Amino acid sequence: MRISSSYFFQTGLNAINAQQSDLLHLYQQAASGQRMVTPADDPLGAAQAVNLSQSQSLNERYAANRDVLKMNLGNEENALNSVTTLLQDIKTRLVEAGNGTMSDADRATLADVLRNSKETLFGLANSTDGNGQYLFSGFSATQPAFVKDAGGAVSYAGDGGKREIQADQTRRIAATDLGSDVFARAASGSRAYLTQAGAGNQGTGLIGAPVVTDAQGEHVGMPFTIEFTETAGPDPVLQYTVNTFDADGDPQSYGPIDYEEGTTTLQLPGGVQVAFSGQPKAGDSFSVEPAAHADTELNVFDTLDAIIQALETPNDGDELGQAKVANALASAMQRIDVNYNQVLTVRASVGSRLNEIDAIDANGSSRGLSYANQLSKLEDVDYYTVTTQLELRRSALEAAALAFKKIQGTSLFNMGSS
Amino acid sequence: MNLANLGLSGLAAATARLQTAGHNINNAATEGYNRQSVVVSSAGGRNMGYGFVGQGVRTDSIERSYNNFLYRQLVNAQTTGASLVSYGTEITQINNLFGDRTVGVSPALQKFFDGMQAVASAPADPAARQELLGRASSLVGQINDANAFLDSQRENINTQISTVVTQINSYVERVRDLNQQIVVAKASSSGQPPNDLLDQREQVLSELSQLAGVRVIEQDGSFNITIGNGQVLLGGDTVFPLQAVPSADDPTRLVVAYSAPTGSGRTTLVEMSDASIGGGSLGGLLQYRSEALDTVQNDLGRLAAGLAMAVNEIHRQGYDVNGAAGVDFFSLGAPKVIEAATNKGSAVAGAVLTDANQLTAQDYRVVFDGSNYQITSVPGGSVVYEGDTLPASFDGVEFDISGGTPMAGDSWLVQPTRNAAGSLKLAIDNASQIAAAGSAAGEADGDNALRLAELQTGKTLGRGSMSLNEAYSQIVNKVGVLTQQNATASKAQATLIQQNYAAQQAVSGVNLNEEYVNLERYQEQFRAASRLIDVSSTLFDTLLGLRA
Repeated sequence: MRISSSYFFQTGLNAINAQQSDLLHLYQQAASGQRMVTPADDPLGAAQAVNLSQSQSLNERYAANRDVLKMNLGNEENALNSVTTLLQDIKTRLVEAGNGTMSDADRATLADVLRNSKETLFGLANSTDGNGQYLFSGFSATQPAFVKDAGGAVSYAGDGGKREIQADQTRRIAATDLGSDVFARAASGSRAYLTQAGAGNQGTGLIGAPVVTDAQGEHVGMPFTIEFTETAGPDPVLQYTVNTFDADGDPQSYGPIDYEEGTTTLQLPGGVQVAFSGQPKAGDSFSVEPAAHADTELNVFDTLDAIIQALETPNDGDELGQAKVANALASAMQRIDVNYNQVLTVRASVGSRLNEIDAIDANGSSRGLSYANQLSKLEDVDYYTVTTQLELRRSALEAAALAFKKIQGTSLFNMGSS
Repeated sequence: MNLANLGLSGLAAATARLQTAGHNINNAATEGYNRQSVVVSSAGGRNMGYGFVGQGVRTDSIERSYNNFLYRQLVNAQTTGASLVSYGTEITQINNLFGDRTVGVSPALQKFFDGMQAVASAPADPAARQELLGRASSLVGQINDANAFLDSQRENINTQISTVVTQINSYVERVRDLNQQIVVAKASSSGQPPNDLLDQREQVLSELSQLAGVRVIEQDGSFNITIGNGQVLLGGDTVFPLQAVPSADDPTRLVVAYSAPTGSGRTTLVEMSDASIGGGSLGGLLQYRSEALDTVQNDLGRLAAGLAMAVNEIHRQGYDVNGAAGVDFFSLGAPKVIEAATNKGSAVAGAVLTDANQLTAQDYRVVFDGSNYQITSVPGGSVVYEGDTLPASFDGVEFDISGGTPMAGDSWLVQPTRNAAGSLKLAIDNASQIAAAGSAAGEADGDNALRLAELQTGKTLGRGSMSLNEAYSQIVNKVGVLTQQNATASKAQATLIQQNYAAQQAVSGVNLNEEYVNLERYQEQFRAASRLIDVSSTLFDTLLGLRA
């Protein structure tokens, strides 16, 4: 075959160009550290990298979300820790107040101490996070969770919104709890009962220590009221009627039953028993409410207000007054116990949420590693391969150039002139 | 005694050969040059009674080493090669545009949803909201930018089409001129081939073929040229020029039109379909526009439409910082409906996007036949709607006529997502308008932001098959595959061209070593012929000396 001179030059040029463009591609790979310089180098890999990088960025986002969660829950845990200590302290004071040897002045002092505790608790219930958002007010983060009216009564002012944060692809975790749940509700499933004497009672009947004697009892879980009446006639007999509700929520009455003086307990129909002593009068009433019932008012601040008011009422030498304080104390202690248990329950739930977050964190970081690994496999260049290739191509280019020069040098015209 | 004449004929042949070798050497690097050689024959002998005594050498002609088959093969290969190269030049640009996953639409999309999560985690934090607004605006900017790049490429292709069309016309005129010169040269040289003019004409033709695939019919030594499905560019001495005109379907795209004779010397312009022009850089451009640019821009538009519609729908269900109901987060222009230039009716047509998940990233043609509307996808041509009632719903789009009356034969081109990526805008301008809350209750409510953040992985496109990010990765993949195919085809074509060039050059190319040898050889012939004259002169002298 004849080789035309321009074909010879063209071929030499093409060969050198091809080698150089390969070399350039290898150089770009080595310099950028990327296996794919453009999507055309590996269209499928490039598309996978786009999707993987989204998974990776989502994974990082969830980790950041969990950091927010940890911070919020940490704040809540701190606040609840203080609340726990405070409630323990309040319980101790209430036991002290039950000491029968206290004078009016002693009780007034105790009332002051409790008033201070109430203020502290009010402050804790209105805890804020680092951004000044109230922890316990639901969605209304700029609204204090609890507000005080002119008379000093404290009520929940937040809403029922649950602040949830996406902790990973499928799990949302509540970042806070509602003040109305923490400070004004019994733990769900609580079987505790609360007693209270009617405000206008004229007798010295004392009620307390409610217990469920038969867990399967017909009226367990329902509120009871005990009302004292007298039979008409010259020789009145003190009787009491127990009002409650049946399983369908319809009112149901038991009695009147004759009241036996000197009794220590009253067996309420349907599985609940209360300690009862003293001398009630006709017209007196007592209530026995389940703590977990929807109608039960469990606001810890109201409880404190009630006991403070009772303690501040002078009653030295006044049997009726002493009975009122005793009933109020009993009621308050039962309530504070329920609140205390609820705070512990919420704390436990915060702790278990933090545990869960730790577990998800561990998952997330191993997932992150796997994403990074996959991305690296897709995108990163293998330096050993590239440098070897680079060396190989460089020699190939040198060889092509050298060969071209050598062969070109054999032109007869060149020989003639030399 | 004719030794001197004998020498003279040898000198003449040697001179012609030396001159031709010199011509070859000089044109060794001339594009399109075919090696020439001198055709000689023996001048025959004179009958002397005792036999025929040779009368020397006769120089018959100068011919070129030319093989029509090899030349045509080379030109065909170059036509395809030029088409692949111009396609490649264009697609490489968008390949680079979508190349880096760390810049552009994909990271902006991720950052937008990342910002949404941040707002969901801390809805009352004004900084998080402000950042989300900034990221949303940057996402819109990235999508607009990518679309603007595609738009500018479309403009650029229009410019290239008109330039190439002008070039084609000028090449055709040069072929006509050369046709005429060749005829004249042949006539004035008693049929001897004007080799260099022939070379020039073939070179012009080969350059023309790199602009567009043309067909050549040789008639009495003149070239006639046709393009496409036989549209005549050069017939005899008449040039029928091409023209770049805005398409009747879509005035934003230039198409090629040819001049069809209508009798009595007049012509009319007729649009040529893009597919009918194959090969050459023009063919490559047209193929790139319909195969890659249109689909990529539609895909990007679908992504923008999917983003806007999905986010808006959820955003409207939420409440902003002030407890007001959410408004649209993004705004999106209405789909493009282009009325055919040939429409006779007065109908004003429009379309709206109804369901992003059903969008197909295709265009549609609506044809009214007097009673029925038929809607077909473009390209593809499958019928998606046929009926006499409007609005017509198909593939997430609703087409309707808002006023006037259509007439039979009217048609419209609907481009549901072509301009969506360009018309995407941020509809809210204040961070407090972000409807993160699921209820009007409070500022720490991030329920709606959580739902919005879920859109990042939600399958909101392609009939529930793709998330937004996956839709983007599909574009990257599509562009990558097309670029890779083009690169592979280009490489193979370059090799083919190289082979054809080698075969053509083996016949027609100049080999300098060969010419060197020829020079030596003909120089020797020249010397030998001179020697004949010398001998003749010596002989003559001898005769003269006899007398002396």
